[in-house]
Amino acid sequence: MLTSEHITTWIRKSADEMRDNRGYLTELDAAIGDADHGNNMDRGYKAVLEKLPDDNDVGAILKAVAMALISKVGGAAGPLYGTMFLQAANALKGKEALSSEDVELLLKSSVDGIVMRGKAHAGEKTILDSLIPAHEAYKEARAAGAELIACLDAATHAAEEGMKATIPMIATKGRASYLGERSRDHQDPGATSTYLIIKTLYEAASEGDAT
Amino acid sequence: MIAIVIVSHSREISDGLKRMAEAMSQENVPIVSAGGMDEPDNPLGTDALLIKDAIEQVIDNDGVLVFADIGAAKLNAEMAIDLLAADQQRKVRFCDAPLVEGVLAAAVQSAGGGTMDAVIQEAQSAYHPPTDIAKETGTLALEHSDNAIHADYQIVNPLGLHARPAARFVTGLNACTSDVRLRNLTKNSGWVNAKSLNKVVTLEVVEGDYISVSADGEDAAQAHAVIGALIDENFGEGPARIAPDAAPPLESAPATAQLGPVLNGIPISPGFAVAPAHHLRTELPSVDVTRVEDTEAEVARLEDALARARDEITGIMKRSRDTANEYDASIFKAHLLHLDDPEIADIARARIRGEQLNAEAAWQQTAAILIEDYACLDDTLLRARGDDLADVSNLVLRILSGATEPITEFDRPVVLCIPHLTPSDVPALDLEHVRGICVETGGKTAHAGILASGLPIPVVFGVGPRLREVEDGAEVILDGTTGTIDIAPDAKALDNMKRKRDSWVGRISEAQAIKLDPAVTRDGQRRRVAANIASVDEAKIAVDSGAEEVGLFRTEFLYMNRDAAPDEEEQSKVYDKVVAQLGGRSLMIRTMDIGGDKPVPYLDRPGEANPNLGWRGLRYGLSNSDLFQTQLRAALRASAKGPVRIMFPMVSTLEEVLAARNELETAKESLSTAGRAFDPDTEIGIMIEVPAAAELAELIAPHIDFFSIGTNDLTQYVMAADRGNPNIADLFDSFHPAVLRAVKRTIVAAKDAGIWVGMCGAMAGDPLATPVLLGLGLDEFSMNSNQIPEFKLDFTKLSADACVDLAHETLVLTGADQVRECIKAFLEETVS
Ligand SMILES: Nc1ncnc2c1ncn2[C@@H]1O[C@H](COP(=O)(O)OP(=O)(O)O)[C@@H](O)[C@H]1O
Ligand SMILES: [Mg+2]
Repeated sequence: MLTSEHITTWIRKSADEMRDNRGYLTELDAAIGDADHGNNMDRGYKAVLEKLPDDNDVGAILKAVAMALISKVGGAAGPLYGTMFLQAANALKGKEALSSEDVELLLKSSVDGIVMRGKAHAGEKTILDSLIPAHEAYKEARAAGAELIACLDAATHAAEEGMKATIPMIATKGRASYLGERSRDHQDPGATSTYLIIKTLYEAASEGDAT
Repeated sequence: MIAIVIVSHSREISDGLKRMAEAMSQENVPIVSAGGMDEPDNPLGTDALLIKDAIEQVIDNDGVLVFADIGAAKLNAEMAIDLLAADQQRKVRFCDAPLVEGVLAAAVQSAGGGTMDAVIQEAQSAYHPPTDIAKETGTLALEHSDNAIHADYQIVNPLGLHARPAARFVTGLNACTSDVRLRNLTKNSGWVNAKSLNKVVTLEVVEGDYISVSADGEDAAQAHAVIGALIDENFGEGPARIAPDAAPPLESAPATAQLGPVLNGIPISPGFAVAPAHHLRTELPSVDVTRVEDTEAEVARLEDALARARDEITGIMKRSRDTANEYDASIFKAHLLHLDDPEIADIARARIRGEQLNAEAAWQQTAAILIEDYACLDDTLLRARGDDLADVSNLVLRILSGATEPITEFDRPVVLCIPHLTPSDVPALDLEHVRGICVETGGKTAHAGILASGLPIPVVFGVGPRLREVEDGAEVILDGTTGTIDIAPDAKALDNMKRKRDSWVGRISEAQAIKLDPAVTRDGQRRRVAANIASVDEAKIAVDSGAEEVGLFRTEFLYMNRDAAPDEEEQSKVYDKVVAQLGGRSLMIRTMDIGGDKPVPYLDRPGEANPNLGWRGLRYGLSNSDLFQTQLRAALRASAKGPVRIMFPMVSTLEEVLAARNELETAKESLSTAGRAFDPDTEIGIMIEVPAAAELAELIAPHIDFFSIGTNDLTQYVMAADRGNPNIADLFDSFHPAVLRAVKRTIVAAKDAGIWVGMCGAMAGDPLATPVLLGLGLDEFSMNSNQIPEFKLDFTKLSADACVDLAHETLVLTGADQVRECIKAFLEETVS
């Protein structure tokens, strides 16, 4: 089970990662975008920390995250991650703790949210390229009978693989698509921030002894 | 109107683009700039919440269209739309179009009243590489019907059809329903949609170019009038640098070959005529400026002309009182005021004496300056005043120059074709021989239009310059019902029209035969038919026309054109006379509705920017107790002589009704004290013409005996559309479901409270409205006397039961045209 405390910890850890990787993400975006993804994500998550509600309802927490990101990120990642968290918030509304099945739902609704907003597919060098594999891996692990933390471990590995797999891809969505062929050989910043988000979920769960 | 929200990563871009779009659409379209982020160190970006706020600011429009620049802006715009409440979301669309071109095109399209889909389509076709356009304009063929109206124009304003002039061109045409196509004759382009800004600018019409315009549809003449007016005012660009050539270049030959034989105009007075066309030029004698020695003699000449003009106008007033009503006559009283206006006469006199000018020149130059002043005003009511002044000024000039009346007598039937009809022309018409009138200019709401609508012959206004092409003496067909003139009818058309005219004449005589019978439907429902009158003499006409009562006696004429308000005795005599004329039929006295637009100098009223929304009707009565009491006492005294009802105009609130009741009680007490007789049970009621009163009808009804719905003002206020403004003439429509709903609400409230409800606006006498009003449950229909016979004839053919269903059907429609179609279909089906 992931309690609402686990979720809050996850969000705080994500915020730390965004702060620590701000330069790195921006550097990635400089290569194929407009050099702002790190700043965007850091600014967004800083706002998230200010808005984190004192609430046990996981849905309410995720909704607050969504609204802060929507209003503060500024770039494409704002509405994308905003919609992602909104979809997850809707799916998990009223839950004070998440079962392993609920976490799968969290990942699935996240994918749905990104697709709904960005209308991209796997392989277009976007957030989806780490998020979809994370969801798939989680689902497979759970179907094979793995525990929650093990499932998240699998998801994190898959997200990392997915992130690296964006390097040879040619972007056809987002700002990077203006570069066409020249977007090849660079890792996608959005896929990278998504990896960080999945990774911190795993960390929050394992450090907090989720069962 | 479709509002626009501009989303860009940069606030500067969205602000700047907003300004450009506002300039193009003459600031008519609500546009919100929602660019950038509220982050001082990171202003470039987009913020979904800021965009959502922007949309909410303009959500009360017909729709909101959101435009965005690149990538994230679009995502955030869509995010913002998703965050809106569901009922708001339905009104908002994201428009995938090039930002700058798209927003400009959308603003212009929206200013012209385009629908959401039309605006989107225009925005999305806003960007084409130039080569494509050449191809496209070159191949577009004109597929217009034979009825299309076609004309060529030379564009002489410096900018040509670009930028603001192009925007005004497109905006003006978008107010018309006809399909309008345009081509550049000089550059020999193909035809393009003249309502599309993008298309119009692709024609590259520059100063001096000729364009060819074809308009196909009901208001085709109006479309040409719009273009003519824009060219006349040089698209607002100041004087033209080149003089327009006399004739367009030769290329126009194939275009003119498409001239249709039917001209379209605005129907003013119904009926049919077949007769030879007769052109009358009402051009003025040209005025020479000369130097006079005997200035006093010249001043005397002017005085003499002014006096004769005064006589002439008074004579016209009398004639118009015989043929029309007091309200019409009051229009000429405004003419008299102009004649007596010291501002003109004094200055003209001073110029004769000071500059030794001849009287003609002094008068013309002085009046011209004032007319010009009026023409520059924004207020349409005041601008109309300028037309009156021009009419008066011309009359004086005609007298001074010894020119005769332009509208002469004829010895054989004619259809008159004239460039301009002035109010004073109307009563001067020789109705023996004039079978119909076609006028190049003018509209329904012009004074001349109001007067002409009472004529027993077909009249069509606004035909446009093509009227001049009609050959003098050629037999033409004039249809005053549709507003069309067939200038080259073939034998079949003539035959057709003669039959139509016969049946029209037949119908009139049929109506005359039954006019004194009660109005009873096929299924036995009876309704009261009443007359609207505005003078003593009309009471008799009302009775003769078959009115069962007077549903509206306008009393403003008692107060107009005099030095002091009429006292109780004088008013009492007038009311008694009307009561006597009505021979036991009920008289509805409406207390004075004097507003800032009617000249009543002794009342010393403040000028008002917006008289229609100002200190008028009951509002004015309640704050001028003496004036009000005098009228109430006189009206009550009439109730001792015969059945009288008292009605208050321009009511908005229950408090006003209660205050009016109090005033009436005071009047009754003072009459009792004075030992004067009156009927203590005199019915009192209010006009429903303000939406507030319609909304509150169920609260007001228990306090009074009846409602009478005044549709002209109700329509103007419900639709927020000034009836004198041609650009929004289609909004001012009593058939709009929004107006019908207010009518229904009023009737239901009356029924619930057990009081009766009538209607005394123009709609009550409109044959097309009758089935719906009957179906809604209206008890009394009050109209102009001359409409009563035909109203009764139509009424007896209706089934009240079927009308109930029809009424419900119309209430759920969304537009006035749909309502009309629905009623027409109903009438076709049930009455034949
Ligand atoms: N349509 C899309 N669907 C999914 N992800 C997208 C889409 N468009 C852009 N992205 C992601 O957003 C990232 C860029 O985010 P950011 O730099 O914050 O926005 P911007 O491109 O507006 O500067 C990209 O690396 C990509 O992963
Ligand atoms: Mg970026």
